[in-house]
Amino acid sequence: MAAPESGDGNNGAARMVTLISSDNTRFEVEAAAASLSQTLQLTILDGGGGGGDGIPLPNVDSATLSKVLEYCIKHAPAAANGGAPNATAVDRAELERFDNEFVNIDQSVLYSLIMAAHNLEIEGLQSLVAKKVADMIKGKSPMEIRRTLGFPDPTPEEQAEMNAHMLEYGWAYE
Amino acid sequence: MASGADHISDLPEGVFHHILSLLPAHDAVRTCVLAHRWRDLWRSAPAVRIVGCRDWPGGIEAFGRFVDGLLRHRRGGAPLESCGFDLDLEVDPSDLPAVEQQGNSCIRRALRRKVRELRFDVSVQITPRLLFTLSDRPLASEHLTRLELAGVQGNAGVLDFSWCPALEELKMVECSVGSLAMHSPSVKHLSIKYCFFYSNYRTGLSFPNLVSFKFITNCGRAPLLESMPMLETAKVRFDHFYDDRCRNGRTDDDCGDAFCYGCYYYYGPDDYDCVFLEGLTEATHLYLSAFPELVCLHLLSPQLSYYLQFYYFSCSKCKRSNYYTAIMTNTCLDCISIVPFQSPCFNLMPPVVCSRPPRCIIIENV
Repeated sequence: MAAPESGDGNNGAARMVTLISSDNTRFEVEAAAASLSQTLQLTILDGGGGGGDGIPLPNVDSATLSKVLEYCIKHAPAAANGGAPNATAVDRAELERFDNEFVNIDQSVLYSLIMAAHNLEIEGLQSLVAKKVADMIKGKSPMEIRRTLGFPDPTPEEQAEMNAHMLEYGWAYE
Repeated sequence: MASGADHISDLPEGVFHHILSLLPAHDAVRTCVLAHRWRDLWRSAPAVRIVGCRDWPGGIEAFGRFVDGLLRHRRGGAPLESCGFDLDLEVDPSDLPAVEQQGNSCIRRALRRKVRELRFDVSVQITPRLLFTLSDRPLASEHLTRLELAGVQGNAGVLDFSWCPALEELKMVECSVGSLAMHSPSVKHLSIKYCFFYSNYRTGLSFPNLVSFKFITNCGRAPLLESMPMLETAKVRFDHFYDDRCRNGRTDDDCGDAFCYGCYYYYGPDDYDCVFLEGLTEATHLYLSAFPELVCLHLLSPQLSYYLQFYYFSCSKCKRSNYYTAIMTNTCLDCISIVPFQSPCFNLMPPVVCSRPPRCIIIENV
């Protein structure tokens, strides 16, 4: 296992693994970063992904994977410290700033990220993107929510269905 | 470019539940107008968070109807994993009883829905500050495992948790205890922070299964701790606000000052050696910090008198109050480390004097 001795990395580079996106792009990344994914962790612990092999990820395209790896590389050092109990306030503020910037993205990219985080089981990223969507919904009327999330204006039937719903659950709209 | 709707409608149910769990309940319910397949998802969301702000439209009655509707319309037997109330109330003091009645019935409703984790956090925006009074009868649930109370006024009824046999974690923040006893046969993790105890009576804490205990910066009289044989970690911090402090700086016995009540109310059952520390002696890791003038909490126990020294150990040279953390690493006190704070001339002071020194004392400067 590479994690324990990868501390300073001065006796040779940290262990690397290769991930292959759905469109066959190869990404070489430190095992510690890729291991933030619960799905990949076991494979990596078993020694997979090294050398010329690579781990294929048929559900994740290269644009999304590069974004996911950007997150993992940034968060890997803190995760290696077991949730970083001794991280300084500066480090935490920096991660927070990074996270805020990171989800400031186009919605279609955001949804791809949600799916990738879900499939790869990257807990921190799952929470981050879910919170982003929740923030987009919070405090809005149904119509505003639809517009924010890029839904087209409702058809007359949908509008009727919405009205019926709002009538039935009036207590939720008072 | 594909529209957002194409993607968000495809999210797996688990992901959508995750998003719903981060939303206040009234926002979560409104998402059902987004897509047909989401229509009823909120009704089975495992986590519900109810946020009542001071400007809840329609007032407190509408809020009551909302919570009622939310819990009543849950789909079949969908388990309610967690239910959180974050209430920020701005009401006329004369309306508070009506609001309290609504809030109390919300708690009972969530319990009837077999909630496993319940959080009830209230802040009443009135000056002087009022606490939200919980109704004086025990909470009863076979399913509740975790309870968090903040900003409430407790009482003997609600703080008797023997009707919650599965309750393992209890957290109280900024609550008034308002009872002579707190009891749970099942709780393993207890945290009491910034709470108010009586200043002229001691509250008995009976938590025989406790494994971890946090008791941080509360005020009033330190409670009587009953035996906790399973205790592993205790973090205890006494700050300024304790009533167990001698205004004349005495820590051994009655200072003779009729206006000083610091050494009053030391009573306990016959088999108690000390008021507060008795229960902690079973901890394998104890982090204890206190101001030096804290009256010893062990008056009934001559053999524990070396605790005393840690509290009122002050620097004779700079006259500054010193403040210590004693860390016991095992129950036999083979090893105690004492961590002094705020002492620029610490090394000029004599080492800790103990009437029966433990075998090993470690003094660290932090």
